[in-house]
Amino acid sequence: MLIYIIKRLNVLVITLFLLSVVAFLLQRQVITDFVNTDNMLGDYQRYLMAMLSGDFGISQASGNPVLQDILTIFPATLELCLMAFIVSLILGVPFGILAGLSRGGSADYGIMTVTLVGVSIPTFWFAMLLMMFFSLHLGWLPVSGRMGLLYEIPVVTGFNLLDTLLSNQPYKYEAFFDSLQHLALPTIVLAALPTTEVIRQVRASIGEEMDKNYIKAAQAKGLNTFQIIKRHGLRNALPAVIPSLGLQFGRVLTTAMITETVFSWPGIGPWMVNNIYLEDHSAIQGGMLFIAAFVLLANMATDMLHLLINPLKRDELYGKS
Amino acid sequence: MIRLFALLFSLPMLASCMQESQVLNKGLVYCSSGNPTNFNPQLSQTGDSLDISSQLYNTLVRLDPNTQGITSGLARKWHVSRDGLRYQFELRRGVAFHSTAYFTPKRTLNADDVVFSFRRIIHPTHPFHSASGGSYPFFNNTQFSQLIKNVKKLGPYKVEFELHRPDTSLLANLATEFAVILSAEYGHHLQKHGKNNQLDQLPIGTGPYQFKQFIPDNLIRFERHWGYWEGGAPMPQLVFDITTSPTLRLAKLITGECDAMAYPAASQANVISDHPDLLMNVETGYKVSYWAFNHDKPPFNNAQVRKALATAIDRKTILKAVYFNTGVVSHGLLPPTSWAYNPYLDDYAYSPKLARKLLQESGIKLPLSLTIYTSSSPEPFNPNSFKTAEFIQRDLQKIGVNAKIVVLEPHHLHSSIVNGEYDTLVSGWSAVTSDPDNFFRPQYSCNAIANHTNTSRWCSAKLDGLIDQAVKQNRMVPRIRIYREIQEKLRNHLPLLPLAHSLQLQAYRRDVHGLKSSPFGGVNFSEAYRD
Amino acid sequence: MANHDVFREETIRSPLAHSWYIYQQNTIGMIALWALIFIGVLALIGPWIAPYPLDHQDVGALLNPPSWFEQGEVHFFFGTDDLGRDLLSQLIYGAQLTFGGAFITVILAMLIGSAIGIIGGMSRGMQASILHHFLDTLLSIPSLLLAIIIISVLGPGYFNTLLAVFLALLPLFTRAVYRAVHDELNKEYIIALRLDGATPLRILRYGILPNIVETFVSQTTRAMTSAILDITALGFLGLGAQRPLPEWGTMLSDTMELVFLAPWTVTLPGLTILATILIINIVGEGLRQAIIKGMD
Repeated sequence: MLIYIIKRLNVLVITLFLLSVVAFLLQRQVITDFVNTDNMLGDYQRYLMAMLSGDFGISQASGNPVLQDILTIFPATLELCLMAFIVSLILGVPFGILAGLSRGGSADYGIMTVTLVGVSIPTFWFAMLLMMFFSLHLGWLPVSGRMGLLYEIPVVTGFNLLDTLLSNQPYKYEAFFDSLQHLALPTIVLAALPTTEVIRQVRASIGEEMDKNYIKAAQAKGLNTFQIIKRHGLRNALPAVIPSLGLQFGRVLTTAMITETVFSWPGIGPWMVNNIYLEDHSAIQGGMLFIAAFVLLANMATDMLHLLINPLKRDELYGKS
Repeated sequence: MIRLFALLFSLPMLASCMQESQVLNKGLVYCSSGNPTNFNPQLSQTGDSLDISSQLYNTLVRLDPNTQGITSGLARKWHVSRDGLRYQFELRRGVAFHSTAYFTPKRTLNADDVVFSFRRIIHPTHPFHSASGGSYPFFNNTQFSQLIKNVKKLGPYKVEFELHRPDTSLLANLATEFAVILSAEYGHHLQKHGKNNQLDQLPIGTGPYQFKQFIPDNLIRFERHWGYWEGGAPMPQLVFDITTSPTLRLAKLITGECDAMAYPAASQANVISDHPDLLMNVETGYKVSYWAFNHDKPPFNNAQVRKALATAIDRKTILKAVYFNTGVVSHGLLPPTSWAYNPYLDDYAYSPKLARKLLQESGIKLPLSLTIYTSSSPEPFNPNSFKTAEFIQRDLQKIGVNAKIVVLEPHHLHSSIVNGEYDTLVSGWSAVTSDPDNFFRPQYSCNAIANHTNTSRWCSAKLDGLIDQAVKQNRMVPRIRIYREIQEKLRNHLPLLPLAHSLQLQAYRRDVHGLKSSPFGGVNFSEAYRD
Repeated sequence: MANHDVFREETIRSPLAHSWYIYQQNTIGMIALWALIFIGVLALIGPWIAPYPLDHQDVGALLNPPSWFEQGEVHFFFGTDDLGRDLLSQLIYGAQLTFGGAFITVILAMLIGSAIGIIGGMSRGMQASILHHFLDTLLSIPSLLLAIIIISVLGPGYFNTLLAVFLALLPLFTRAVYRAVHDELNKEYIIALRLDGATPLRILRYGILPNIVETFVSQTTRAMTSAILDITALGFLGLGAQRPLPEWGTMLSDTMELVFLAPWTVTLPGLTILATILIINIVGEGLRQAIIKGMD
């Protein structure tokens, strides 16, 4: 286990190192146009030390340290991603079970067709469609932002839902529901991708488990389908689902960047795109290293978690499988 | 299980039923178009700063919205000396400044504040002159510093402006949203703590709302200034929701997330007027879009070539396609609502045939190729400069002129204008006073080349003489005569081709009342409320 | 044809031909395949068959609705945008930029990425292990994010988008092929081949390649959909192709402004993208299933 962790960390460090070289060259090309190549190594060393101490430089656009900017906006993105994962589990598990139970049947066919559309639909267009229908046509949901701006909620955690509840404003529950409403459309858009993943996983493992003998034994004992799924099916399906969701984190984060742009969600997506427009190089570098490091760490953490809860996989590592 | 599902799906519905609430009725939300660079309109000339100005500040005199005449503001009355060189203002008493978390004023407005506010602009040695960049675009464009000899205090509530030469446009300039009065006490307080730049970032003014919070790209929060000298505003809170995309601004207006929106796009005018919940104010703005010819780049210094190109342009189509008919074709630079407008100018009517003939007669080497520089963002005077350039390109193609469009971000475009890189330029001008001088001086005077507002880079001593002569004249009839002469000269020389005057649109929800807007852009919430 | 069934038992098809036979039984798959060919043809000869040239602007017909609306006109079948450009022509030209661009990018990424993968897979030891772990890590960053990162270095533009997507797709192919080759190499029949004295090239040609066709097909489908999604997303964010290029995503971001006035300028390009990706997914999934069955 320890060796495995060290191995993974090694690769992580190498990848981040390569990314930092790219980022460094980007900055250098802009500032000095490669005029003096002699003290490049020295420059890079200084640059790396600054990066390691969390100093990504000052954003030309906002005038604040880049890391500070990132840390203020990133919770918004994270909140959206987490909500999307929760929704994907809430929707994905029951539909996955339904599809798994009726493999080849019409329910399965219907669910899988919707799933196929779900992976094929361009995120930004889906977002625009939802916005056109639910906000502009029906007027049910707001089109943008995290919360009605007349609510004044002090920032504590950066997660709006928590912050509203933590605040002591008289309207905190109202504000909480208001942020839920603002979350609704972006969350649906963002949940499309992980939901399809959950449905596929659950469907596959339920389908597999249901053919096994112990299930037949359980049926013989007189348990109904609901009980069987609760006791046996899910217990075997869920441990596989959660890590696979973790591995989706990178894709969800990227999708979130697009979703945020459509719904003007004040997260890392619009921030990054805006900085690319403005050619704010320290912000671009900082953002890129931060996102990459975050995704890589999230994946690693998922793998570790998977190892901890799934002893079978641990054996695989040592080639015992 | 099914019950759980039903509950989950009904949650958002429940939430949407709770929209009627007390908090929402205690404030207004305005969808503004961008981040202000600072909170002092003296330093800026963008629409976003204009929108902030009337909430935070007041000016000495104001424009009457109906007659466009000058009325009293912070100055109760004023007096102009016979020779037109001295303007004395008597200030209102008991005008309170904002009291905020970062500054508590100890006194009300007096002459020191007025002297402080204007000396800061005109005296290069003033401690605040170079704070926040030290550039005062509006005052540069109107050559304010060259005009004002001194601003001095005559008594606790009496101020005098001394001029180098008579200028009848001074009062109109002082009535703009840029000539705001700051607090001298706050200035001294900041100076003592060595935080001069804060003057323009954390504002203290006398306006109906005071500053509370600013989150870039997100919001500006104001709260009611109880001590406002005209009586506290009806709403305790005012929030600017910073939304750069016009589509999103309209979307928010439709869903009710905003109560009013800044700069509706021309294409949205029909949608707004057809929508049952929305209302729209329409005014002819003091704005013009034009196509300028760079006189430093031959053959565009050749009047015959310019006339040929001008005749080739179908401005009616541009008006229809770009402005969605929310504007009028421009004949001369002045809008038809201006008192100096010359209705007898005959214009360069669209005729590709004539254009081709003129071009051939001009004796330049054909085929002609040129560049059209333009901005990638919508401007107050042109909803879509790039699209305008595309139409010009298409029209030029018909007479065998090959045009290349260079579309740049506003700040890149500005540096191209500074360097004079373009052959031609699609741009425009938003006047901030109704005085015709505010059109002619920035666009055509020689000094304005250095200010980068004279984009044709044409300098004529004779025209400069006429422009100066017009502002010295304080009788209307001769003044109008001079402006008509100027317009005829411009028509014949044609340094730039005026394209269209846009309408000033203001959209808001039906339940909002008391919203005031000016024909020069900018919005005023001092009396706005919602039922 | 009826005789097909009669003689089926007697013909011995190669596994690939048999897979193709199985695929033909899949009606939806066949429809999708024809649709895919149609899009491919559009991308190839679009400029010759589009009703209007790319820069044609009809100022008499601004924001015309599609022909099935009351105010629509047949000669602007999908309607026009705010410059009077025919939407159908724009979409046809866009097929070249979006679909064609994605196709070329994927083919290049497949060739180069697979080559690296095969070399890596055939080699052993330290070098392979580093490659393996490096690819694993790189792949955990999604392709669009990689593309955005690369764009932020190169700057926005259509060509840069293709380059970024190409670079982002490389590791996908490399890793998949690397894995497949690696797995095959350890199987007994390859060991037998090697004991027979076959050269590595021969092992590759006759032993490995036929057995990793399925990997190729599924990776190419995945790459194709993700290339189209990435190109359009970058176009939409304003980081990819710029107007007047009628790249589908760019068209969408351009017409955002018209969503209230002319909803068809938003829905039609979006539907085009959705349909294209659906078709590719259906064909890819069908082919994969057919190959798996055909190989057995």
